[in-house]
Amino acid sequence: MEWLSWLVYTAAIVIIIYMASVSLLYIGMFLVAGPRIRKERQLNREAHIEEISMNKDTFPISVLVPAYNEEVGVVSTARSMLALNYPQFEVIVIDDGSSDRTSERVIAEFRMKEIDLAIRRYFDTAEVERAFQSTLFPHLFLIQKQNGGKADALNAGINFSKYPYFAAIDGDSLLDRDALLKTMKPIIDSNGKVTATGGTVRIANGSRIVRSEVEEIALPKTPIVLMQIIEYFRAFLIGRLGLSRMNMLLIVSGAFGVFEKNRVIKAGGYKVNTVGEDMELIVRMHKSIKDEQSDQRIEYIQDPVCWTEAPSTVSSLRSQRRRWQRGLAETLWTHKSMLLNPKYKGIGLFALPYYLFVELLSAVFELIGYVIIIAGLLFAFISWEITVVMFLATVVYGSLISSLAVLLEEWTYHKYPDVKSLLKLFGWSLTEAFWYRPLTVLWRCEGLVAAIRQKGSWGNMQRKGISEEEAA
Amino acid sequence: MVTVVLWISGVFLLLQVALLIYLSLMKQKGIRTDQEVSGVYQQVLSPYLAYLAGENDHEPDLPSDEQVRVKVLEKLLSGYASNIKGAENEKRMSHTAERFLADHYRGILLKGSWAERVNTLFFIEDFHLKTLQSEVKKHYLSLKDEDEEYRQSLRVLASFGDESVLQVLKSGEAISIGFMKECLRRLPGSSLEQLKADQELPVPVKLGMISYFGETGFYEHLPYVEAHIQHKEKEVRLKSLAALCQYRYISSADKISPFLTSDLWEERMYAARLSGLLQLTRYSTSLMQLAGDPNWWVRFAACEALKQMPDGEILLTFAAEGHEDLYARDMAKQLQTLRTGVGR
Repeated sequence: MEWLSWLVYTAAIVIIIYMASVSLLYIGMFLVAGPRIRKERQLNREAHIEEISMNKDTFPISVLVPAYNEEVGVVSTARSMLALNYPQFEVIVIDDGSSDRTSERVIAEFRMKEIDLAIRRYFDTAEVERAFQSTLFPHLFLIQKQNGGKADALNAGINFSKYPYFAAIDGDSLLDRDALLKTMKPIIDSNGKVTATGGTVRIANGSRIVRSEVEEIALPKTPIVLMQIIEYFRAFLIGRLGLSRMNMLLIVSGAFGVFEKNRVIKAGGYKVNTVGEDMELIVRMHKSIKDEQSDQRIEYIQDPVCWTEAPSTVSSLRSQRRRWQRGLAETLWTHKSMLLNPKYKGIGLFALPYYLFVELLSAVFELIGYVIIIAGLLFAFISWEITVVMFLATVVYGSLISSLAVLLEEWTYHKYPDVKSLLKLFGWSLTEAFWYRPLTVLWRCEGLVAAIRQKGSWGNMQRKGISEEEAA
Repeated sequence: MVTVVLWISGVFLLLQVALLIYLSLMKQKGIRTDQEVSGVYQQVLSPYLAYLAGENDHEPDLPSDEQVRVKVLEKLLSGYASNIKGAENEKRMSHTAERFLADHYRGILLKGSWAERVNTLFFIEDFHLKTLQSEVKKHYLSLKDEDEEYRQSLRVLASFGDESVLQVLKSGEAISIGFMKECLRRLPGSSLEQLKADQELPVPVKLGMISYFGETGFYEHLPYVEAHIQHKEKEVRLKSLAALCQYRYISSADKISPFLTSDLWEERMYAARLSGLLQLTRYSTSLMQLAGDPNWWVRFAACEALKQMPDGEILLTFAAEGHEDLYARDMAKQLQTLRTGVGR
């Protein structure tokens, strides 16, 4: 049994070092993101975008809304898109072979009329069967195609779209009225040097949304959703901003991102046989930029511009996390040749290793850590000192970093209207290591196993609809 | 080891709790200030608007607390600035801003944070605080980064008609066409004439000007635009054709003809679009040919142009049923059902 004890002891030390290093890395990224956040903290963002809202040659955009069985929320999403404050855009809802009444809802609500198709084919997609144009809003279109998955639907949308930039948005998300202006601003200011941008995605559960607009921001009651809000703060305010500042952003959230169509076409469009198509596309765009030795950039903007419905049940959250982890694993595997490859500079030498060791494999390290803590306490496999240190490392790694993100959010955007919300978020963030993190770690490990076994499903979430009018 | 880790974690937690307490207090203070600002704003809104509009000579009292006073005035004047027209109203607004805000803004330009300075520059422009022109210019000259602060300084100077903006434009500095147009929109007419007269203007500036002229639709600039459709630079020719589409005018239809058979698909596309907008039936045959062009955009523009002709429906039906090119038939069918020219 001595060898087992030695093995557990060694694993414990490795895990402690790992967690301490990752915590330091988070703090380092926070320090990289900090100055930018500090600089823009008090900026009047309405005045900031006023000019481009009136500019007649602000690049026109096609807004693509892939929808698969989204009859509950699709009308609300489309209406939120139509209300966008932007000089020139079209909205294209892509019904990806839904078996519910997604198309019927859109056709009836917006009085659509069928149009004949003469589509360009940048990419091959599942067959596009019909297309409709709204008689009320002529810049609103619906295309109906055979089921091919979200990536395939987006490719079909790109084929159909007519503008040089496109925004991809999930069917269950809502955009702020100024979302397109804010997200396009870096592209416009850089005169096209920025080829894609992603904004901050917020969780809408708990907030009051009327007629597709967020009227009052409030916290949800369910702890599982509250924890996801905290998790999003950490991911966006620390992770993405830090990476974006170094031009190493690897994820523009599938919920909302803006892309230069030409660059996406050059990169080959969305890959259809993966569940992490959003990240996979960004990695391929980086590859295409570096291969061309272009100086184009992919940027993240700090403004919270997109609202999405978070899973509110354990089973839907589990399904989402398994899918995310599987997508991440597939993307890293697909682009393994870029990993640690100096040709791809920061992407190959930092961003991809970061996603491999921190975002993907941390689940495995953490799971082993939890097992050792529990086994250490129950069976005295290792000394109590090691158990305590591991426990503290876990707390620092999870709870304390999360509470730091909550404070960062309050310092920058302070979107929640009262002090009570701040205290509530801070309090819950300190509990992360004790229940939420072990759960997500377990699900992420399941996702990793599914990726290795090439198994798993899309795990679509049962939508409740986040707009009051929709629910009525 | 345990003690060290315990200490590190403890200190980290304590720091965060201290930060939490600080942020909570600041939040509470911020909420109170916002409520105060909102209350005062509601109270003075009507009387102050009456005063600014010259309907009442008595100026309502404003709070003695500088922070609240500045915020209330900024809110009041911003709303007022976006709704007024006429030199007299602008003058009264600028006069008020000058009395209460100019010194405060001078201080911010010298010592404020980056965000405060940018916000202030937006307000200086909105409130037409021309008395701050020299301070803004000095500030602009001290800037090292070409970021939003640099751009907003130039916008302010352009709105004051400052010569330094012309120098920046003429120097051919790498600024975006969009931003160039933002400056052009603000510059006085005399500055635009000065730019038009300059034979050595860099191409990007020409592009910005032509695009801006198309956008305004002012006929005094039309000859300048038309003169550039034969320019040796492809981008200048394309911008001119695009601007003519916005003008919906060309002095002689013959000038379109070479572009209908150009080697560049963009020129064919604009020529087709212009022919449709001007309903030049003499080009119907060319447009029918272009409906089968190898490029999707040209096919679309050609069929859209055919649709705009007086006998457009007949032409499209003919193309949809009998065009020798399969793609042209598809495109014509699409245009028969698609509502065009209505994009937001």
